[in-house]
Amino acid sequence: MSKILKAFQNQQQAIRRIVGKYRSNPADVEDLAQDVFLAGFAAELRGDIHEPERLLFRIAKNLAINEVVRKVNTTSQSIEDSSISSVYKDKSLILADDALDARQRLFIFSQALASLPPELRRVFVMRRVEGLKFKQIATRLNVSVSLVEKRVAAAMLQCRAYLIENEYDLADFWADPKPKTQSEIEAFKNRVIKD
Amino acid sequence: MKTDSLNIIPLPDNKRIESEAAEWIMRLQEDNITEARIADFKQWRSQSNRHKKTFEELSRFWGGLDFVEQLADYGQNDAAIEPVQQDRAARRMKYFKRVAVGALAATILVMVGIPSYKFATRIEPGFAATYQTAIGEQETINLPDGSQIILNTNSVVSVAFSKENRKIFLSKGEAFFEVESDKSKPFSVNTDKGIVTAIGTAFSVRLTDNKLDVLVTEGRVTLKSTPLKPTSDILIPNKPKDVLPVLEVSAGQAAVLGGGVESVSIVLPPALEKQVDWQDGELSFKGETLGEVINDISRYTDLTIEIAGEDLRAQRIVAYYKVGDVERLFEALNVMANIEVERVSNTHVKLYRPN
Repeated sequence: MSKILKAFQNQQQAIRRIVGKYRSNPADVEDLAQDVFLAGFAAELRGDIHEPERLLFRIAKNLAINEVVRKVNTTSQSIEDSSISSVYKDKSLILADDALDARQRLFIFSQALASLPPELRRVFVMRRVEGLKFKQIATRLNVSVSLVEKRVAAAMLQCRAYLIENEYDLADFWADPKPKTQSEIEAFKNRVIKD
Repeated sequence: MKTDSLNIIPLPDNKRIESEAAEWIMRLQEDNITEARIADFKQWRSQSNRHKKTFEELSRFWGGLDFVEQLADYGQNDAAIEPVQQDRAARRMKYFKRVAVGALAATILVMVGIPSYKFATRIEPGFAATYQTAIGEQETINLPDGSQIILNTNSVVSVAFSKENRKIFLSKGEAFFEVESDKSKPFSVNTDKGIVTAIGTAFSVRLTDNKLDVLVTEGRVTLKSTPLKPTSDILIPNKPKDVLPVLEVSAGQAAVLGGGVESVSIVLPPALEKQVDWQDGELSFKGETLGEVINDISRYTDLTIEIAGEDLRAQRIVAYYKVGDVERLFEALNVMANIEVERVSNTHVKLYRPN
């Protein structure tokens, strides 16, 4: 398991407390805690982390402060927008909610990825995050293309097994992020039930 | 649509079909896929409804993972840049503290007058120290100029910095150097086999009985080989009068010296990674034979490790070895490859495969 995931699991409460100093809305705190993990994990994919817990705390503080700045800016923006057209307002609301669910999905999948053995995680990341071809990966690692393909295949299956084990709905990972407005949620439920 | 016949396929079969399906998904993404391959795939898929369904389901899952790319954006996040830099700095600090304590201990030794340690502390502003590692031990040394030495197992290195130059004397073993550039004070590693001079760079030097291996991971170095001569006390800085200028070696190259340059070769990135693998205190083996693994490990332990049988010697191993922890490796060999350890004596073990 990756150091960052372990540190995050051990220090979730502390991270939420740090973020909570700057954000009072519990949903915001949860979102930011997930961002903290994602930023830390992305850093770990680029190089070994020495003090994972301290790194997460520092990212938490920076992110929380940046977020306060961003929110202030966007709030003043949306008040102007709302006076122009209510349609705009609705649309921005949906986008914000979609983004929220996309984050959750990435957060969960990254944990699956973080729990893989390093050699599987590495090839998977080269393929799906860095966008390299199997042949390029094989050249870089000095192994056969077929071995790379096998490892990426195993990585995919293990991530999927992780999601199933933790009782996530696989459909959430291949469909578009879940809609969040009330009418869309209804429509979505109907569709799921029919399926 | 499920049918009963699908449900009675035993679990191991399901797993097998899943991994075959996953591998086909990967293969079918290759650029120049041949007709024959596609025919193979079609043949595979037509074996049962389960094959077809599994392939479809996994394809959908794989295809839906585009969102994972967003991790790259998270890596660019401003909020993470500074903390990551601090993390790197913290690592250097930790080692510095340890070395500082070591240096203090060494100073006390000098004061009570143990003659084997010579310190050129008179040179101002100079710095001198000797560092030594036992078998199975590694040490990271931060030098006052910002350069770093990682000393591998069973090695001895002396440092002598003066106004004019920075000299390192490696008398035994292996070390990796990350050199802080300072053109006014050349940084050189001196051994009885030759001298390696750094040009703003990172490189490793390994001294064996009759050879000197130099591996450059960053920048360039120049090599000067010493003609063979009776062993000299290399702790005494000898002016390289009798040393022949030889050549430059740059990043990604390895050179072997032994009374002249024996070879210079280009090291491919994966092999480079492998050769400097020991620096983080862990060796990784990815399919080397047990014979090769034990050969590597034996530099890090006092134990004599014997392997029973040529078959076992040729067994391929995937394992990580934490320097200094040979028991854990035995455990891993036992769990993963069914290899048992017989304790012949306190200093001698035998690896064998039970029948």
